[in-house]
Amino acid sequence: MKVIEVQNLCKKYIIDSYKSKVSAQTQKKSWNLFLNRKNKEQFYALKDVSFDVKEGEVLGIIGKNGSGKSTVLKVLSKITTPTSGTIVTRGRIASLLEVGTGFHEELTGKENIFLNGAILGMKSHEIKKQFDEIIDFSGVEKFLNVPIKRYSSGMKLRLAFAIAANLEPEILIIDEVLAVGDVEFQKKCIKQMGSLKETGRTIIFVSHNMSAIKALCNRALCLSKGTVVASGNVNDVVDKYYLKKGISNLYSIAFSGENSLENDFVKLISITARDKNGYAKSSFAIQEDVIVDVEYLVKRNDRSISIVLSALSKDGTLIFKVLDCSVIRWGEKRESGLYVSSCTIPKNFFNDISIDVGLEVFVEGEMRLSSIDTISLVLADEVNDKDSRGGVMLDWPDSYLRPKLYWNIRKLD
Amino acid sequence: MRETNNIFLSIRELVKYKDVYFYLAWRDILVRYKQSVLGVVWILLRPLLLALIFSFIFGRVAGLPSGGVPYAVLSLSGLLVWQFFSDSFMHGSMAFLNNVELVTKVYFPRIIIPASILLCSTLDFLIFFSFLLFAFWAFWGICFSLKILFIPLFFAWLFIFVLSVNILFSSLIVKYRDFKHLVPFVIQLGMYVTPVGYSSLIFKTKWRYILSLNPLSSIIDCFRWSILGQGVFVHGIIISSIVTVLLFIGGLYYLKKTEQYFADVI
Repeated sequence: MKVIEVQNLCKKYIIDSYKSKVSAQTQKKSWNLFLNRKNKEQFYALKDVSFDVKEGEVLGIIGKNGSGKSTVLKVLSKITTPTSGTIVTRGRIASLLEVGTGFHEELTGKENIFLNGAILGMKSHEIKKQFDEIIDFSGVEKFLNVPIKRYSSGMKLRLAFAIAANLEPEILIIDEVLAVGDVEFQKKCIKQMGSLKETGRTIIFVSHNMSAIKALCNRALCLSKGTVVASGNVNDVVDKYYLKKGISNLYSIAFSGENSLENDFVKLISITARDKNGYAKSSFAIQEDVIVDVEYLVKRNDRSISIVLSALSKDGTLIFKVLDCSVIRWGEKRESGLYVSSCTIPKNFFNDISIDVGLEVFVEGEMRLSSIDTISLVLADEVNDKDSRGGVMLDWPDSYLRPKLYWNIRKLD
Repeated sequence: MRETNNIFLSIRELVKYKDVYFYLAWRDILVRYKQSVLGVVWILLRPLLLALIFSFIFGRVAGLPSGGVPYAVLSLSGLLVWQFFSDSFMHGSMAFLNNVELVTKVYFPRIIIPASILLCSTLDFLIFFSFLLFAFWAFWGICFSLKILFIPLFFAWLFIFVLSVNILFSSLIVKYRDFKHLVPFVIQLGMYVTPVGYSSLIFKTKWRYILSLNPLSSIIDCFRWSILGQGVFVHGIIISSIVTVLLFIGGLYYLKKTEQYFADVI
């Protein structure tokens, strides 16, 4: 049975009313806004979104920031009304768009459990029934009678999620709640959601964490600029999402026709990025090896040849340049024939950035050949504990690299 | 689940979310008196000080009539109503703005937020009211008549009036922050145009018609009638009731019309 049916959902925002948030602070500006009403600019946060969810199904919604994911959830949970389109829901919905909504700093942990539970739609007797479980799950038992302003942010989060995890609605809507908290906690949350799934709950789940999406969901929906670009089996949608995420989806260039790149000594055939299973793609997790294959034909025997790869950030900074003559020394003549030079960019090396990989060929005593086109790769941060984070869940600084270096910790006393 | 424009569905929804209503009120009550040493004493201290000032300035210096009761008694009975209004209006008009995360992150009928603030002030009212009854009897030897049984009715009127004003202001403030600046002004000025520190008996009938456009003045008259046995102006009560009903319908209508966009605008 379909428990949620969404048809042709549109949500239009008027940019002015967005701005009024800021500019209404000064009376004069808001008066101007009032007068300029006719010059409103329209913006569709959702355009013709249709999908349905069957009972007991777990639907993941993915997409870039600003693609409309949260708007879908807000509309589904009745926080805002759609401009047009219909939504039919069957069953009690609880939505968790934020952990700890309505928490009050001055109140104790215990008081907040009751308050937050009520806000999330639990009845008093339900909260009382689940009370012990909530405390167990949160692990803040000792601090129950302490105002939560004295809690660490991790404790607050655990308490908040514990309340939400013990909700018993028929349909549960969850927004990016796993983005916060340490890895241990995230695992606990995913496990809890998994057991909710087993009890036959219908769940709609938004996340940037693709492994969580893959682990929990049966189906997924990928949004981009307010429209559904992919839906169906979760693995297919996630793969499509990875492809989409790149600024350009070029993970391979074939040098032929107009594009051909050759001189008397060498002819380039192609450059391709792939993972270690040989699957060509442009989006990689940062915990994954990126292998760049350059295929070329050496026409003569009497020159030394080197393939050169360079990695550029999107702002044009050269991050590194590498030559394959670190393997076949410069000065050694290359025999003619078909070659592939494969360069492995190790896992846990780049930060979660987009890079362009450029290609050049050095030929002894000749002008170098360089490709104008570059391939573009996106490195995504799939938060898990196999990377250099080591459990640290802060936003990683915007560096180009996030290498997993060799540390040695000695205790001196 | 379809749109709930139907009034019966709306009421049913309110019943469904009644727990949220009580918990929010409970939160406000707890928060108000946490970490305050004097706690409940504050509810009494402020009006007592004001009554002292009123009796001195209006009673002694200006020599205004008090309708046969001690001047402090007259002003305290006015302040009972005024205190309820000014406290709930001050917090209630900011109901949505101070609870942005509730508005943008969870759904329940929006009216619950301003209404829960009134529940919190009701507790203060009850404490102050019982204190007054005791003090009037113990210090001033005032005997109450059966008219005092009407108090719940008048309080209900007061409650509905303040609720309407709060709904209207809090929803207007969501979109037009200008009303925020109006609130302290209304409270300040309101105390002078409402017979709080003086008796409405000092006005000629013509003026009392105008005065009753402010429902609070008739409500205070009614309170004084039922506690102190002073006279009431029936025409004024009718006018004030009509104003209250209009405000209530207007407030509800505006809230209903705009609440679905609160999360986008706030």
